Amino acid sequence: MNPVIECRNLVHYFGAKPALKGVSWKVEPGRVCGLLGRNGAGKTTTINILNSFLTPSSGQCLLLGEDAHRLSPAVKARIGYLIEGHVQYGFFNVHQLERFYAPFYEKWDPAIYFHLMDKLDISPKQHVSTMSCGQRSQVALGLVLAQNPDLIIFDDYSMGLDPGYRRLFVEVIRDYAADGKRTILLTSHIIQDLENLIEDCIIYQRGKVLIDMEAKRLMADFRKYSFDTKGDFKDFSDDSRNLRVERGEKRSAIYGFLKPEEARAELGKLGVPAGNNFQQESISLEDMFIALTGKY
Amino acid sequence: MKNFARTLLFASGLVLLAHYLPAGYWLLATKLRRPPIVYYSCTEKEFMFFRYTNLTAIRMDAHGKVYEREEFERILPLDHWMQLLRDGKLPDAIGGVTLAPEALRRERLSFRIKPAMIDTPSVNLTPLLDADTGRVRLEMPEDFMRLGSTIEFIHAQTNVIEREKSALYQSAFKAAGFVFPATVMGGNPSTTKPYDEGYFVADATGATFHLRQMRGKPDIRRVSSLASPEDKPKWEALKPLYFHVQEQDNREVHTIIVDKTNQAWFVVGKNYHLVPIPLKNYNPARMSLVVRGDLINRLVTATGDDYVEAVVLDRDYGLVDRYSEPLVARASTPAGKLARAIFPFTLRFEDVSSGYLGVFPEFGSSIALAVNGALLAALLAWLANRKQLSLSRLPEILAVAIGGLYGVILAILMPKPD
Amino acid sequence: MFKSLLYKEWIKLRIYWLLLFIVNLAFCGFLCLRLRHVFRINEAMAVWSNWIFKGYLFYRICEYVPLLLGVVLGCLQFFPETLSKRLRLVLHLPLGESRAASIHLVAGLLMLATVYLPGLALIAVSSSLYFPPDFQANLLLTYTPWLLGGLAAYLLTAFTVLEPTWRLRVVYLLFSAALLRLFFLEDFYNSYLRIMLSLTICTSLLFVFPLLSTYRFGKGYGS
Repeated sequence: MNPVIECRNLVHYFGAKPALKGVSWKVEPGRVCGLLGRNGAGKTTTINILNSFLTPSSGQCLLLGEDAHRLSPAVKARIGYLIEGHVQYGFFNVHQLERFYAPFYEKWDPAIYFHLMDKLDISPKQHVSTMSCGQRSQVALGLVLAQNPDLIIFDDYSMGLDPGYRRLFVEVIRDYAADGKRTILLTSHIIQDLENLIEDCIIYQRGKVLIDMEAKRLMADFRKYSFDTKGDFKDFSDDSRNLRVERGEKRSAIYGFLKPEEARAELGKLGVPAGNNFQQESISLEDMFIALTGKY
Repeated sequence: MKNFARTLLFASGLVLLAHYLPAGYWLLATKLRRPPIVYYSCTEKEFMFFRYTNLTAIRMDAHGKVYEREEFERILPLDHWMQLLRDGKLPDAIGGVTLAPEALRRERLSFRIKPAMIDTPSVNLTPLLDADTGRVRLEMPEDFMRLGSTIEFIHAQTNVIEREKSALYQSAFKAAGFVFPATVMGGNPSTTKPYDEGYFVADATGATFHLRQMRGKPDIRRVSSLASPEDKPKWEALKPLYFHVQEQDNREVHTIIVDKTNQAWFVVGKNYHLVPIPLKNYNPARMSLVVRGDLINRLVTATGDDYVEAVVLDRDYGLVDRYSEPLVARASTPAGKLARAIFPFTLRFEDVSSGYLGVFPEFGSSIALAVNGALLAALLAWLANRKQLSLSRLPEILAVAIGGLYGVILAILMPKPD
Repeated sequence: MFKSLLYKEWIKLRIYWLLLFIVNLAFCGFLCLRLRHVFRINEAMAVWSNWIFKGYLFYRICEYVPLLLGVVLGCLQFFPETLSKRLRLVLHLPLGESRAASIHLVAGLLMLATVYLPGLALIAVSSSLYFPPDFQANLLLTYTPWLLGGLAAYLLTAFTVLEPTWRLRVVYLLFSAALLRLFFLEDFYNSYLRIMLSLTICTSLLFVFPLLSTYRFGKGYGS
């Protein structure tokens, strides 16, 4: 089966500054994929290319087999976009919005939309512009889901949302993706939300792909070992091997795709004395992300 | 679509730059360039001139001798008779003609025909004054005349057609042999004039008719049937382009006609005597015609951008003298030459020749073409150097090839292709 | 889809449309009152003489009204689309970009037409009470370049506002001012007679410029 999203060697410059240095990755049909990265890693640039708002300096980006910046109307009808900031037409109320969008999509299902709208505490004639950020996000979500798209791209769905709305989003997306017929690409800075949601994980670092693997495998294989701090040594990181050593006052840690003995061996190679209480600790996806991409 | 839009953007940019850049240039570069005013001295029997250089005016004769103001006025007594009279220097007679102030005032003729008057938009509604109401002053009628494929009168207050009057005039026109529709018409619909000449009208065959309202009744005459046997064939051959009516105190000249062969004619006297104005190079579309007449002579001057010509006629319209001189056209001045070198073409939307807006192009010199070529070569080299020479750059390339400097400005300012 | 987009623009702009309609009608109404007033206090012949023969364009106060209305509508319609890059919503809809943008422009032009025409009809009806049909025709033909200027102003405003980069917005602003001046060179009735057709064709061709800006917006220029 052909991938739903495919980026082939994307390169992009803003002036002389490189934003993407040749990224390639795919999303297979029916998968929920998280695209993660620090600010300035190239995530937003990639999303803009996926959203057809930017043409890459070189490389290709295909959505459902077509070039992302030259999509045919038929393919556009199969893709749902949630734009950063949940941008929508503020002058419409929820009914007018539905009336506007419905004729564009053959597979439009108003039930999904109104089901979500019923949960909102709004009056029927209330304009979108007078709604709270969270309410607007729910409206935007409802519109996207009602399209019944084969692919949904959520560009930072969590921006400006409180925990309640974020949790709502995650639950709705999970339910929606449960039948395995939809492909979803998400970006977010709230990594803890994505932990039990995404099936594939792509992490960007400085315009390149750092990690591209199944989330389960990442959670299983990327480990943290902590130990008592002994002696003086500096923090160390190696992007090419996804290895990081952090010195703490009392406890230090080593991160990487390492079994325990491999971890000890790496410490030895680096001349870092592995003190007492050397043990593996369970870490969240967020901890992994920070370990992989650094704090600064 | 985007290529079409870009091409259109460049094309309209070229039009705008070709209009505004030269206009801006001339705003900065224009020096006062007034053509000389031509006079004729009936005492010295020679032409005299009022010439402008920058902001100063110099009085001189045809040989270049400069005159002080008093001397100049003395040599042109009929043009300055009021000042001379005041100073007590007016001669009693010249060439046997007594210079009585009343006669001097009455015999002044003054006409001015500008090119735009001949080709100008007009509303086909005009008042037909009553030339013989018995009142001292002329009065505006209460209705307007519409003369086209019929003749109708519309009452101004009620905005209703006056059926009876219209029918009366319609039959009068038919009786006079007028073939509708009217093609050319000229008159002077003002009440501030010594008398009313009415209108001169050409019918569909080009024949000239004279229309007046006399005590409420139509007075329409085919002019050729009233002309003398010598003038009749001239009238029948005449194809009028423009009738200029400007009533003067002495009631001598009915009208000045400009015909389709660029010949100007006086129409004088009871028998509508046709007098050709013997100018050799009168171009009504580009030259102003000024007639100044006095007790002794009629001076007709035709002035254009690059040429002035004058003829002097006596009271019997015989040719007395003529003069012509080329003027430095704006295009021939240093500023003009520079303009023609840097602007490959200019576009104006207004022109002296017409009251209608249009597109009036002017083209630059071969230097401008060479400049275009050089700029085009530079552009192609620059594009080739950056490996950007492709079909998508065609709008820029064409803009520079055609518009030279304009194209360069557009290539810098306008959006680049993807 | 066409109806949907027209619906959206109508909901977005209907209050503004009403305001513009009222403003234009007020101007035209004021003109009609002035006409009536002039004929009441002056001799009809004197008025005809001044207005018809001497070519005093009595409705000159309306000259720039269509242009201002066109600019205002263009700003009201398209400026909000550029804030938060809301235009992206339309670009994501399952129809061609040019088609989507064209429908927006058609909506705006229809709104402008429905603002202009009643006012014009009011002037026409009012002046028909005082002037014969030939003069009416002259009035309307003289007004036509100003109307075309209004439509052109709308299209050029859309062109400028939708352009994503500031540098080109400034260029387009100058371009638009230079182009729009050419609609207002009249100083007598019907001066535009000979170039009216060209002017109309040029005005319709301006339709493609906002499509270029939309295309550039979609390509991510200025991001």
